[in-house]
Amino acid sequence: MPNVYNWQLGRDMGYPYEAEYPKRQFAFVFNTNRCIGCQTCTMACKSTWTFSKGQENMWWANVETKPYGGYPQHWDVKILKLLQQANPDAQTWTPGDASNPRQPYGTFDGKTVFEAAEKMLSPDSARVLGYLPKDEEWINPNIYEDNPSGKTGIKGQYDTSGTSLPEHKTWFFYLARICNHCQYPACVAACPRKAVYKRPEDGIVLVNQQECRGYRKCVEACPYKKTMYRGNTRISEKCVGCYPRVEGSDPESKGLPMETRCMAACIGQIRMQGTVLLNEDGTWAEDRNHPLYYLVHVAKVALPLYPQFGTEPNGYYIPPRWVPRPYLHQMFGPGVDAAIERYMYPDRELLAVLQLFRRSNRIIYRYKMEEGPKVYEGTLRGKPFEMYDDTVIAYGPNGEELFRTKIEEPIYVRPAVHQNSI
Amino acid sequence: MPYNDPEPEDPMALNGVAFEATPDAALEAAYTFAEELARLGQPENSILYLFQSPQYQGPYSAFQALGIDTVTQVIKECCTAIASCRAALRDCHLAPGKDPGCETAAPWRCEGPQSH
Ligand code: SF4
Ligand code: SF4
Ligand code: SF4
Repeated sequence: MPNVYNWQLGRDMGYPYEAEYPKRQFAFVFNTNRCIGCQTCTMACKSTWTFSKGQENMWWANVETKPYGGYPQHWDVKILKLLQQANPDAQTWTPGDASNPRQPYGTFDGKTVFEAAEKMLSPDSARVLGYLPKDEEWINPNIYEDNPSGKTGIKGQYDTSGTSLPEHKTWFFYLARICNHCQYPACVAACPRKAVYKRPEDGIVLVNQQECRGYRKCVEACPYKKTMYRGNTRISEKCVGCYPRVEGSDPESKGLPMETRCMAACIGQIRMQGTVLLNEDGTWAEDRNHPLYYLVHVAKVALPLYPQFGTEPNGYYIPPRWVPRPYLHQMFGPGVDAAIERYMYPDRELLAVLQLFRRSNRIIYRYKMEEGPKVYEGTLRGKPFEMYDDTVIAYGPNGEELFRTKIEEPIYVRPAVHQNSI
Repeated sequence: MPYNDPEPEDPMALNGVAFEATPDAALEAAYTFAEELARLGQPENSILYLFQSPQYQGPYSAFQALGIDTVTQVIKECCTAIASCRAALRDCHLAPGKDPGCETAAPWRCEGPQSH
């Protein structure tokens, strides 16, 4: 197997193909602290791409309640279990120098889904450790996720009266997911017909519908379970990254790159998507004033989802602040503690960049800050805290200004004469 | 946990199971929600209303665990610090300076009619 460099793991790793990188890479940041689980993103995708016969159980975008839920059910528990079997109690990290962009999370000492496959799978042609979810696991997204706990010790039964339910100090958070358009996609690695490919212009991963014969190798291989099989056409489908919007060929985009449907629809303003510049070795090129580069590589508040799987996912998450740390370390890797600390006590620049989320549907390529007056000086949770009413300006691909916004939240009041006023 | 061996293959395995939180999880959750909503310009009473509504399960469970006094204090602290800027009214049909009669975390500054 050729060796490729995975900066999220801080080391080379085995991958079935030689490394080849796009010019820019589709990437996104989701702020889990803000998600209200409204599923508007889910429906935006559904109503655009998967509303046809045979796609009933297909949700390219989904939001699941962690730790209880998953779509398909238990996807992450199952793949973590397979990796644990392949490499018992050795899926560990060695800390490193966080300021090194080639290994900001240290080094992963365990096995990825590609490396574990060499040990676990036969025949030799099998390239990725994975599993094929059963139909029942796909057909009930969100089922039981938000149900209350039953009586202690009684398995699989709800409390019949509900009059004296036990009180548990529990936790949960909403995890929004789409395809991660990975740098080293497991779906691409697994397809024997080379029907799955990564676009050189933006790194979006697509299934060639003419080439696919429905072997479902990609469905089995994707550790995030974001390729899906369509029974009536007998081929596989997946999130297309809303590529007509991203490339600006959608009529609505008027030639300018636009964020995807699921991003644009987000009620909680948790999502930002763009395309980042890559170096020749696949690491992110320094682009100091790109908002995604800032969140991932400068502020380091946004972390990859299950980096240990080894696909180098391009979805990054600001972890939820209130969730037990061991769970978050497993889900987002070793960067969790620093990310939460930084997010809890944001500086001026971080606050300004957070204001860029969902002010516009245009893809932001660069931002600039203009300093404003100090408007608060005091404490928050016992620590000194200052607020400045800075202005942040977002620019498009050709340097044109997309919008500018201030730290103070603009609120739009519609005149009574608006067409849609009641 | 009510029982010791959740089986991932069992579709009911994680239902009716309580994952225990760290002691300060409810307080941390309350601060997170209050801060995020304050950043969105919501006033104190709207944020408290949300905490009290069972429809918003996250804030509601924090509210149940902490009680009204703690939650009110958390909201106040966050709004004082974060929503200390004035909210700007844009696209407003009222004349600049006129009170629109809305409630926000911070005093209004009406910027007058604007076109988008
Ligand atoms: S998330 Fe899955 S489907 Fe998407 S690119 Fe990665 S491996 Fe392929
Ligand atoms: S990027 Fe587009 S295709 Fe992919 S999940 Fe979002 S809306 Fe669906
Ligand atoms: S639209 Fe946004 S807030 Fe609502 S569920 Fe989706 S990601 Fe969460």
